[in-house]
Amino acid sequence: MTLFLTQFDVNVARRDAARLLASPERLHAAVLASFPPGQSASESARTLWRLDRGPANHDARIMIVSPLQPDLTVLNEQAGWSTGVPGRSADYDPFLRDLRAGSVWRFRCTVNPTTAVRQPGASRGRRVAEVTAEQQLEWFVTRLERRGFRLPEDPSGAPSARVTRREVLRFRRQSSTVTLSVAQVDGILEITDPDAARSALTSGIGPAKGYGCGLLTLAPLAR
Amino acid sequence: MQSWGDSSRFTTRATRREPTKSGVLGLLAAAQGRRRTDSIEDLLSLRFGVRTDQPGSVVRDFQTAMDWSHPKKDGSVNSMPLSNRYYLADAIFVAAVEGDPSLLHALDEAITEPVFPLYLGRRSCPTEGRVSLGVRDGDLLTVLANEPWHAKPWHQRRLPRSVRLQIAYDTESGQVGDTVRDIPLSFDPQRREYGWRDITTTTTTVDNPHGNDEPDWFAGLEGA
Repeated sequence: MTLFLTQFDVNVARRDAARLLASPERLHAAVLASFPPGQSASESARTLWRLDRGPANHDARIMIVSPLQPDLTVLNEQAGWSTGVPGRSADYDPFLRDLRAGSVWRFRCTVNPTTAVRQPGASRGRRVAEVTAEQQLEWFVTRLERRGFRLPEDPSGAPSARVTRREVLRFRRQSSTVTLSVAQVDGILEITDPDAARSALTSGIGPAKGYGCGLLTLAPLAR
Repeated sequence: MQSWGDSSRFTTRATRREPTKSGVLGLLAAAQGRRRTDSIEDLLSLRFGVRTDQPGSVVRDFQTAMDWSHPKKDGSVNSMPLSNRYYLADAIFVAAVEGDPSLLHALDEAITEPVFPLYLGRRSCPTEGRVSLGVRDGDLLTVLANEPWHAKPWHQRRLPRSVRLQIAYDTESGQVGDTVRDIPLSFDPQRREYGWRDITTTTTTVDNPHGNDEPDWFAGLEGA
């Protein structure tokens, strides 16, 4: 299995960039346009992406984890900087291979916390979004703990994670409107089961992965 | 723009990610006005190390050329071989040479008033701004580790508060290193010759007051 981690800096001042940022569906199409047809997924991994907004309004970047190294030309033409570096790609494999149980990392993940609620008489449940930040965090922590991670508790006994951005995205998809409730969670986690953790990092967490949800990334703790 | 080739053959003109010893010694020799056929024996005694302050990015120039100066009888012209030329854009390095103080002072003076134009690895990459940071006392590695960080503010802002810079230097005896072929034995255009050199790398940590606290998702990845 080969995987790549990519960062693409968005030039938010550009008209096409604003168009892309307004709709996760268009952004997903633009990310997938970085790969040849049919090569954005392999048997064990799919292309996951996430839009990170920094503290300043112009600070926007797309993180991508993909089985093929993306060709950022098209994305760069639409939403990049004509000067400077269009993006940054690195081989993700050595990092994934070396994950150890007990290691502690900073993380970020944007998720769409929803639960399917059984409907009487219907074959499948209706997806219902978690509403408050507490519910969203609880949803995330439960999923994380099933996927080979543990959240160490901070001195006050609370889990070392919090919801740092909450948003309800509404955008057009063909003739209907999609409504997505997304939450960005930042914090510190510990790996308990490296194999499960690898699968969570490569296949994503929760629903709406095509709309920029589910990608979990890790960074070393600041020294 | 800079380009530091150490293994280019024919139509692929590569660049290393940091300056080569041959490139820097060639720059020093050009500053002193040495001709290509002149001896560079004394420069070879210098110990060389380079710190990567801002890695920059590799850019490719797919170059086409026509030989307009020698048209054929029917007026058509020959096309020259197509070549791929690689350059480093937006990169900043601190290169240091260690050796005899009188030689170093002479070189430093020569750089402020170079005899031949100076360029960064290739003729098409002229130097810009201040080239020499002056002469420092001390051992090569200590001086490189203590030199202030020269990265541009835009680069500093996108890195964390603590940054590790790579230093690549001539291997001391007994150390194991990467082998590259960039010891200039002769710059003579008739018979350029390069010898082998072993490089060891280490890192130095600098504080980055302009850094952001955003996590760097690449920091856990090797060699990224």
